[in-house]
Order: sequence, then structure tokens, then C-alpha cells
Amino acid sequence: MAEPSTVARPTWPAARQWSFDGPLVAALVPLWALTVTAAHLTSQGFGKPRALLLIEGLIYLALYAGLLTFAPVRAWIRAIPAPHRAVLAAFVMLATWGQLVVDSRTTFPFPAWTMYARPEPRSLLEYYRYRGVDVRGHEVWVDPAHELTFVNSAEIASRVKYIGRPATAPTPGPRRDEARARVRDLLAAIAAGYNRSHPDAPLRSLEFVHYTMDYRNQTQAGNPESVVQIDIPEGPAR
Amino acid sequence: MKLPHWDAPPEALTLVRRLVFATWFLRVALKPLHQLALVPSSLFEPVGVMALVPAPLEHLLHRAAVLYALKALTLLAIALVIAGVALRPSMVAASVLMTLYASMWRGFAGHIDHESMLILFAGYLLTLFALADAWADRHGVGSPPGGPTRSGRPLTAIMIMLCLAYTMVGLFRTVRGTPEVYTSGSLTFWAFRNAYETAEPAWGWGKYVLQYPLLGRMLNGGFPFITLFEVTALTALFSRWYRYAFLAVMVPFHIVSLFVLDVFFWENMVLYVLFFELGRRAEIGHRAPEAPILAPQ
Repeated sequence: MAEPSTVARPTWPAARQWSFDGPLVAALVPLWALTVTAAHLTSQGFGKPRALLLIEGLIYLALYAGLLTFAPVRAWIRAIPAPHRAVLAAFVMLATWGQLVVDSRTTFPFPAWTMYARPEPRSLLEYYRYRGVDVRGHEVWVDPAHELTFVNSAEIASRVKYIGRPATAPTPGPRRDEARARVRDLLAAIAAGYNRSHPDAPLRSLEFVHYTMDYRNQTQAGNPESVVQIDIPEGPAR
Repeated sequence: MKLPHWDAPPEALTLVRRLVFATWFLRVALKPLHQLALVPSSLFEPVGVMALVPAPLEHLLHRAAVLYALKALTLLAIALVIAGVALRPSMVAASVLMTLYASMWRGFAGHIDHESMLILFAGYLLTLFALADAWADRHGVGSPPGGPTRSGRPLTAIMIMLCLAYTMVGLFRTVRGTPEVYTSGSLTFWAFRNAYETAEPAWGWGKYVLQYPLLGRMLNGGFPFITLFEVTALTALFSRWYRYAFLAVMVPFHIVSLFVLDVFFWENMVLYVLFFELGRRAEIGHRAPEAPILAPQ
């Protein structure tokens, strides 16, 4: 691996390294407007535009226009054939659309890049564990990440969090009932996975246990709460 | 000054294509997608275009036999790309099947994990640029003499998208989170949370951020620094020294993330190969004819 030499490199005087290119920026603006409009329609429909979407949209316009004022970028863009330029422009705009919509499930495979961005000054940590009893009557703590290995442990944890929070709501109601039905489905899927990998000692019951911890002093904030338990009938693994 | 990979030779493209699709191959081979058949539809939330698939077809797609077939076909298409057989159709087939595969597993995931997104982008760009090459050849369109090589164009494009994604992370955090995200101790909370939310985290060092305050201080102190590198990532297109500095910061950051946050973006790190020039065309000024992209490798 070697850095290219300076032979035959296009060179620009320092003053011309950065210069505004009107026609190129003029070509960018309609694409940008189309992207922001598409992002608005995807996230808000025909509702009122979100100020944040517009602000972030303008930041991306400034970023792309800024890049296009740099001579080496312009030289590369001008030198690649038109179909390649179209592919790259479409790709950048789709990525920007996904970023502005901030709904990665809808815009997949162009997600919003939002990692570790929103402040979360919480004092209470909630998490869940799975307590099973196998056919021999032994207590087993089951890790869903070991049984459903087609997703990673963080992907399972986030799915569980979405249904765990409403399922552990203190007041009964249709939302809690629906969430608990989903927890039962989750337990059934985990148990099926476990029983496949442990045919000699399959589970007979599985329980969804809710823990709360005080983040600041690392002590349990209450007793572990059994939210839902399912019994697993004898029979061949699914 | 030229953008990286302006003079990349065909061997560089072959190397990157094999790296990208080999990473896809590993992703698919190591993922037992047939387990999705165990997951009831109440826990499945389609992503992207899968939301448009009618329910009966979706149920069919969730059968173990169909999932095994999808995996086999995807692996076959990717293997053909790696071997360089019927390259363009194989790349298109691999891209379509990989998108379906990735959509299927993410239907059960609670959040869209970003760890394999950029390598997916890289495969898409390699495929689309190969199609654009074919279109350009048919219509007699090409780069001017001395312009970016045919092999270098997709490599620069992938690097642009790689850097842009980092910039998006940094900009989003700057716009949505500043200053609270740095002052509220959110990062130490996330480290702690990630260590507990999974029953058996890979490393789980996030449990120690309160017990050992120095660890928490290092995390919180490094957070704005990392964000600065993310926001400015596109500078890697212009500056070799920035590229080295970026790698010197980001490689340790991703490794620390594995231990403390239990997230590892190893596929991104595969793409760091693009931060180095992968050779250059034979003799600038007397251009050797470029090997066509579909030449036997």
C-alpha cells in the first residue's frame, strides 16, 4: 500500500482550492429540496413541517455546497461519467432522506445515524431476565441471546424493552394486556429455542422477571417482579 | 491534490470487492435465520419495503424451509461474486438477496443496528458502479484522460459514504444532544445499561463505570473528542494526515466500545482499508489500458 506520488496530480493555486461553483450548487439545490420534501412527507405526511427537519436539512445543504466549493471534489465529480454521478447523487440523497426522517424501520436500508445522541439522564435502570424450570424440576436462567442467535443480544434487548415497559405498567388496561400477550409469545419463542438445544432437559415453564436498579447507588430499587409466566406442554420441539 | 483512489488499479477494486462480499458472506453464513420461524408474527415488525409485502407472502417467507433456501441462495450469489463468476448479475442478485436477508432478521430486532449498514452500502455502490460502467460503455461515456480510473471511482464513492455516515452521527448528536448529552452523564448510563440489559454481555465492563470513576471520566471526557472526529470525518477525503489521525482515534474507540458499551462495528473497520491508497495505475501520463471490471480475476 503506497500513497500516490505527486506525479501528474492536478494542482490548483491555494486561492482557487476553495471557490464557489454556481452551476454545480444550482444543480444541487433542486435535489436537496426534493430530499427534504420527501423526508417531510415520509415523517409528517401533509402536516406542518418540523423545524428540526428544516434546520438539519439546511445543515446538509451547507455541508454539500461546502464540499462542492473544494476544487479536488469538483474535479472528481466532473471527471466521473454521468451515470456514476447519478448513482452517487441518488445514494447521498437517499442517505440524507433516511437521516432527516429519523425512522430507520421505514427508511431501511437508509437508516438515521443517531447513535448515542439524545441525552438520557435517568436514575432508574430497568432490565429483564428469564427464569425457567426444566423437566427435572431444576431452575434455569435462560439467555434469549443464546436461543435466538439470528439477532444480536442488543437487538433482542431493544425488542424486549419495547414490550417490557408497557407490560410492567402499574395500571391495568388494554395496552398492558396487549404487551403481556406479546411477552407470552416471546417466552414461547425462547422456550422453543431452548428446548431445541436442550432436548434432554426441556423447559416446562418460563417466567419473565422485571428488575429495577437505582443507577446512582447500584442497588435494587425494588423486589424482582414476575410479570408473566407460561407453562410449556410436553411435546416435540417446534 | 486528488481524492483518494483517483489512480486505483483493477487489483485494488478486486481486493475491496472481495473484502466487502466476504464480509457479507460471513454475516449470512453465521446467522441462523431459520430460527425466525420460531418467532410469532406479533413480535415481527417489517422494515423497509418488507412492510409492503402482503401478509400471506410474509407468512410464507417465515417458514424454516424458505429461510434455509434464502440463506443458500444468498450465500451462492455472494460466493459467485467473490469468485468473479458472472460478476455483474451475481452482484445484482447478491445485493437483492442480502437486502431481503437483512430486512428479515431486522423485523424481529427492536432497533436498526448500524453495525452492518456501511458494508451493505459498500456492496450496493460496487454493484451500482459496475452497472454504471456497463451503461457508460454502451453509450461511449468515460472519464477524460488522466481522470479517475474505472476501478478507483467506486472506491472513492464508498469512502465518501463511509465518511458521510460518521459525519451524520456527529451532526445529529451536535444538533439534538448538545450540551446535555455531554453534561448529563448519559454515556456512563448507556454503558451501565448495556451491561445489564443483556443477560450475558460479551464483556460488560460498563458495570464498572460507577465503581471506577476514572473509567466514567475517560468515557465522558473522550465523548466530545470522538464527536469532533465524527463531524469532521469528510476531511479524510483531502488529508492523508487526517486519515491517519482518524484511524488512530477511531480504531481504539471501536475497540473500547466493544468492552464498555458491548457494541462492535467490525464491518466498518473492514472498510478502513480504504483509508490507504491501494496502489496506482501503471504509468500516469501513458495510461495503460484498464482491465475491464468483468475480466477474469
